[in-house]
Amino acid sequence: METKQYYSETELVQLLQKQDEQAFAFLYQQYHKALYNIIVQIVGDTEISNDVLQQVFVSIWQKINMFDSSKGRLFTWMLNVSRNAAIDFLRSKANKNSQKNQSLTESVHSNIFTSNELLNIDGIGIKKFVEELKGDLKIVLIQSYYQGFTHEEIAENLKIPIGTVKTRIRTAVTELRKKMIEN
Amino acid sequence: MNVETYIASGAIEACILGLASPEENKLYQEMRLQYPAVKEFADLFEVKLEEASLQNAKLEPSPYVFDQIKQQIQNSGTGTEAPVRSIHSTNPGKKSIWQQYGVAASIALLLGSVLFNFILAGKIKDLQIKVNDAAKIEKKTDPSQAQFAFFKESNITPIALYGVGIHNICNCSLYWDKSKNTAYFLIHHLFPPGQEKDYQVWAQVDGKPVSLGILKYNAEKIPIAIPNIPPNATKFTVTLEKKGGNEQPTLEEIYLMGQISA
Repeated sequence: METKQYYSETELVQLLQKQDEQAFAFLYQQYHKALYNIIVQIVGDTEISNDVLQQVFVSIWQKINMFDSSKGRLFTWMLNVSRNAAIDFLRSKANKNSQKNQSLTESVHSNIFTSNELLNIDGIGIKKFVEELKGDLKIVLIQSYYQGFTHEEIAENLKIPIGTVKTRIRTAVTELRKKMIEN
Repeated sequence: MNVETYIASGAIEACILGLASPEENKLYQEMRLQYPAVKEFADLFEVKLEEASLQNAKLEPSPYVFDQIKQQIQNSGTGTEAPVRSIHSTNPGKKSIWQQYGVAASIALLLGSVLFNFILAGKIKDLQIKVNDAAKIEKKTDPSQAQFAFFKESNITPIALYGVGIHNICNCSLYWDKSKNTAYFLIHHLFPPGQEKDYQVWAQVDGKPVSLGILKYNAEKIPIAIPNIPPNATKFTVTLEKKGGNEQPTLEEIYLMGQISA
């Protein structure tokens, strides 16, 4: 069996939904690095991120039939699967830590800031563009996208009304999109 | 709702990035189906998001991840949400597609990993938790597993052994039971030494290397007992040496290093 070098997205999804191993290997080869990088940015530990990445690809293999191409692109779906898995890990870790008298906020914050400092991950993925945002927009996006805080939690963290959080997130993602398109 | 206002609101980007509420997502899907301009705008953002994610990805995962995914899929059996086909090759004379990608990925990732050598504060705790979890799983699946009994000892000193230089993807742990002068070596990621070579473990005592012997390599993540650990050892090193080992460590072949946390 020859290894195919390229699939259209439609073809790839159809093959994956038929549990085609070759298509899955191609999918891994194409996207493992991008997905691993978003996981590392959230989890802050390259070793644990390997485990999360493993779970993500197993989930993709098992749940590919839930992907609906009419709702968006395959990569967007996989990115959100990865981000959710990484945030779930952070949350479970925070829960464990909170039993040791550390608050969720402290735990998640210490994780992301330690990781930024030691791993130099600021230029990875869309973070490159997030870093260019104004301070108040950047912080809401970091807390929501990379740290998985809810709007309510961000409002509490930053001592601002929840409506302001929502407005800032909308403004931040609009600015982010402009920077990505200009690039 | 005015389509232009909706497009300019940031709602589409928020939904695509997973930052919207279920209600906002529902509205987005409705707008997307109803208005081609919304779909077009969303498609462009998704393409840019994918491009940026692929272009700016710097870090490489371990080359072993793909093999582990294959194993997990194989082991998941029929209890999954989707039917899982066997990923064994049906042609024994030819390398499977998994193997082909695995080898290529291993080489590429090994080269890429040279760039990233780091030590994370507190990582040893995570490692210990993971190993403890692994031990629990092992115990569940194999009641005869007595190899992990040392974890129960309260005076165990865990030492993370990190890959050095180009071997930075290597990763092992050492659990030192000072009461028994014995340490237990656990391999997380370490290449087999090859037929002509052996890994040799060294302790640093008073600034000098003391051989602890040849590491009896196993890929099954079974703890390897290392006896006669000098009580005043401060650092541990693993080097790749000729078969049978050397009297002094080959400094160019240091694979792993770790020291006792202060």
